[in-house]
Amino acid sequence: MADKIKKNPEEIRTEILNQLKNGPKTIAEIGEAINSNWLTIEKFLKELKDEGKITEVVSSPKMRVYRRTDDIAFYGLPFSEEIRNKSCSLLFAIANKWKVEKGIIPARTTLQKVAVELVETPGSNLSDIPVLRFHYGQTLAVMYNPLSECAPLKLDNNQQKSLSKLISEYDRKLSAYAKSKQYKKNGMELYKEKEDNISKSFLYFNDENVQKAEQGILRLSMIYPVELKKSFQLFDRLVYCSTNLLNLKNKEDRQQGFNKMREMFSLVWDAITTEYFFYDAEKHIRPEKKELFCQIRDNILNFKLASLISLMEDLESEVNSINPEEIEMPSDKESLEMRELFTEGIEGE
Amino acid sequence: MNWFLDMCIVISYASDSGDIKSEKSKEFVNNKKDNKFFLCCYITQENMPKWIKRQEAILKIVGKKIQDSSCEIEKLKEYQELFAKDIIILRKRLAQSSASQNKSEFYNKLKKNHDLMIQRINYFMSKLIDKEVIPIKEIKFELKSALFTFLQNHSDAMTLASGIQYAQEEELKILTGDKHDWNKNNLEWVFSSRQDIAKKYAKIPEIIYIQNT
Repeated sequence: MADKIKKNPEEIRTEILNQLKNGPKTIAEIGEAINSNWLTIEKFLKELKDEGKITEVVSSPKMRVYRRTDDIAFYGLPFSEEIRNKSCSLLFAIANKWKVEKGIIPARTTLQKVAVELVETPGSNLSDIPVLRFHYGQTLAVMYNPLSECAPLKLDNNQQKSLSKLISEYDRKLSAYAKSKQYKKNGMELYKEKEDNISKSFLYFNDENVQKAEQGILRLSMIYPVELKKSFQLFDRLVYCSTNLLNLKNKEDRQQGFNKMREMFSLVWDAITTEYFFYDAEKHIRPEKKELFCQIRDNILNFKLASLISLMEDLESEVNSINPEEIEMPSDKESLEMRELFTEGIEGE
Repeated sequence: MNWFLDMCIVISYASDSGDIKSEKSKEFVNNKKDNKFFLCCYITQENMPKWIKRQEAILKIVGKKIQDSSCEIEKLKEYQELFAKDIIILRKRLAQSSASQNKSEFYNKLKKNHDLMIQRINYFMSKLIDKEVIPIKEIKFELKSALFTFLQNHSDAMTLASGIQYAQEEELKILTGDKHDWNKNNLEWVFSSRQDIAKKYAKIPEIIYIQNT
């Protein structure tokens, strides 16, 4: 109690921020760690929140959780201190070496891709650093922020050598090069299909791109990973809309449909890859932080999916209102046979 | 004219497969003009959604089999959703896929044709139906049961019962493609064996076959 009286407000605020340095915490955890009561903590948390220094990541009757706004972990996930520190210091080591060797720091996507490749280099002894799939492919669990205080990881000779090789390979190359190389790996089929066909086709409208985008989206449905269950319904509805909108007979309508699909695809992609990130991240969360992890995951994913579902419903209702005579039905023999088979036995329905 | 439609009319229209029923259904729908189309709630709320779900299950199974040829389809959860007749369709789809040179392209084509068909069904249901009739709970048990005794098919009995029930309220013709089960002789047989039902449902609607339109 004597300690509590001695602390001035600034000290308490600093202590709270220090507590959140290694990931999000509940009010109770913060209070226990800095030996202050709930009311005091609540008061200073509100102040820090109003100043934009922290955010509330979970606010349920059961649990209230805060994170620092400058938390380096993506979504402020409760990764262990070791994972955070090692991942962050590896990024710093790469950035520093790059600056020394080439005079610049690479783009963040490239930096992450090189970090992933270094982690996955056989014999690198870095395999305890998690690699997770995210919007642009694989990344580490934390982002690179030059302003964060982080000591670069001390790399051994082998690691230094491998890194120098990677820096020479990736230097002055666009991040597209790094992405394209990474997407060739096993487990990255979804990203490869998206990058090679869909993204390029959506650059501008012409008949060839419409066809490529349609085929690319259909192929994605073939290779869609079964583990991403939450986004699947949304993705499947996207495929349905794209098949119909990209086959409109009238060119102007088709172009409008193409533009709508481009926007919707990028939103759905965001949801799918967010789910991928959480799916991969869960394997690296300690059991005592699982509940918190699940709360954060559900908050973020459910929010994204809910806002997308209403957009998708609007699009679907638009698609369902199109007179089918305005949509091109394939008339090749195989398609006709396929559709005829749908009608087999329907008299008994 | 009021038309009470069997589910096969909607699916034939949606298939656009070039066969006679499909062509006739399309022609019938495209000449709707002042005609009114009725579907029973049993079709819109239960039978059609279930049929679509089973088609999706078939599609998923075909996709999984193409991705992994060693996949034991009988163990998939989608397989458990299928009726015996769906399994025959599934086998045919798998045979079609085996015969195709590029299996991945085959799947894409199948998915595309499926989605285009579903759009036509959705359009039909949302834009071309003037009225959904007879809530499922209001289908008269004795009528449905009498029809079932003869037809031995739950869906046919529910649909036909709805049609006959609604015909007592509004004049209509029933349109189907099922000459085998839905015919005048069968209805007469059902009604002659149940005088109580014949009395209650005195207005027997005319049955028209899409093939003959």
